[in-house]
Amino acid sequence: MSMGMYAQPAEAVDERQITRRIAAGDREALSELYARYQRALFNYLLQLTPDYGLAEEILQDTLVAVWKSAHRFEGRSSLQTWLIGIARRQAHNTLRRHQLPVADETEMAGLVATGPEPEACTLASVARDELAEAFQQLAPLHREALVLLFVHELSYQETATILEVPVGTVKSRICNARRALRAVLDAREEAGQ
Amino acid sequence: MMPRMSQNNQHISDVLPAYLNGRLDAAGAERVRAHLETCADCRHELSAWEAVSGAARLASVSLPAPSPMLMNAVWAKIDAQDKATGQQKSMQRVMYHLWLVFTRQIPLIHKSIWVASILVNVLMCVLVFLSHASARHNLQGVEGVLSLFTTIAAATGVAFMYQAEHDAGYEIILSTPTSIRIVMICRMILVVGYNMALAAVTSAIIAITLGGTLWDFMHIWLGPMLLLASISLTVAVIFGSVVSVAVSLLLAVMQAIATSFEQAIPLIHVLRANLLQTTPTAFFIAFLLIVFAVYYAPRQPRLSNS
Ligand SMILES: [Zn+2]
Repeated sequence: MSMGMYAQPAEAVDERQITRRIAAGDREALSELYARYQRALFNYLLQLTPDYGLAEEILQDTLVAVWKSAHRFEGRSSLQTWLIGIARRQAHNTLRRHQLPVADETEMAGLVATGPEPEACTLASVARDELAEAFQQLAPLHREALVLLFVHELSYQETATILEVPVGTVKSRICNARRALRAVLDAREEAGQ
Repeated sequence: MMPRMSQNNQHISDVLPAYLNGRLDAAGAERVRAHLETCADCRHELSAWEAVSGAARLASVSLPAPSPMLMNAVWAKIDAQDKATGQQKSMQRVMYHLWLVFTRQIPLIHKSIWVASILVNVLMCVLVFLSHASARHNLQGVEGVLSLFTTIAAATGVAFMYQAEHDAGYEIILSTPTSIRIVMICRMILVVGYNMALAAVTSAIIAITLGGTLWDFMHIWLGPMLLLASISLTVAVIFGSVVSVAVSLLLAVMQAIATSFEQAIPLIHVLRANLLQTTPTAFFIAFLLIVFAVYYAPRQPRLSNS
């Protein structure tokens, strides 16, 4: 199991154990699960909506859904993948209900990733703060994929499971995300000069 | 995940993000390292991904934590949903219980009530067929007879429906937690519904035989039947079924022969025009009577200690 920057220090977590306790109605177990995954889930949700209140509402609904469906967790995916998958579905339901835009694949059609490409100035040479600011301006669809891969440190397969797309789509999406980041930086540079 | 790549000829850009986040297996990671040593392009790619990864991490560090009270809201939602599903389940239980009570009344109602109503309706049909020729010229007479017979059948049925001494299943009812009121409503619906169905069939037969629409004949008895059935129920609850049958008969006959006295006694005319017809007033009074009877029944000492 990988939790990326949210990893707990060398803690052996029996994922089946905690979901079984939740399924049995153990409230303490849900609180433990929340304590362990709250930052990871909340960070993920904030990629989908900038509204903290809405993200908290979705996080609440996610935990209610976990409480009700813990008996269905069979360990086919990691607990984190399962939790983020539930959070994503809750987010999409809530965003649709509030008639807010849901990150959509179609807007990215036409962009196909290829091999290494020459960049006018390398991303590696850009200041870290500037990169982070540019990252915030990316589309939710792109931020979502990058965060799952680099912050939650999920595999392509796990990311694909959460996003409900093929692995190939994950690969092309992060390449598009990187290109978009490049474009944001270029635009900022032009505006600055 | 096994990265798809050859030793040196092919670039490895599509596995670099996975290499970077440590999700390649040992063999895959080893191959990436080997390729990176020989390929400047891919080293350049890796540093670009490192920058992207760093941006994502740095942006995430500054994000706030959720409210410390968030779990309280979660428990409130869970408790509210538990309560809602609990209510839904108990509602389903109530509906199922009502259905059981309803269906159990069918064998408990005295058989003569079912048979008597059929006989009355068959008799009615026979009368119409026998007087076929003359009936065409005397629809008024047919209407009067139809109304009289069907109404009496329903009213007497209801009168006997609520009588402990006629009721084989009464002990069972008393020993169940079901309220006598619900039992009464179920029986009222059964007996009146049964009689209405029979009278509707009879009306249809007559309508086909004599001409006219079904409603032409139905409106004759529908109001009086409901009103007299409800009067019958109320009287049965207060005075017993024998008195109830007597009153029902009297009222029904009065209704049938009242036409003759209409001119003489204006009150009868008013009563006939407003009550003993299928009018909203008749339905409303019937409803009030049923409500009264259902409300009054459980206070009746005669029934509770039978
Ligand atoms: Zn290469």
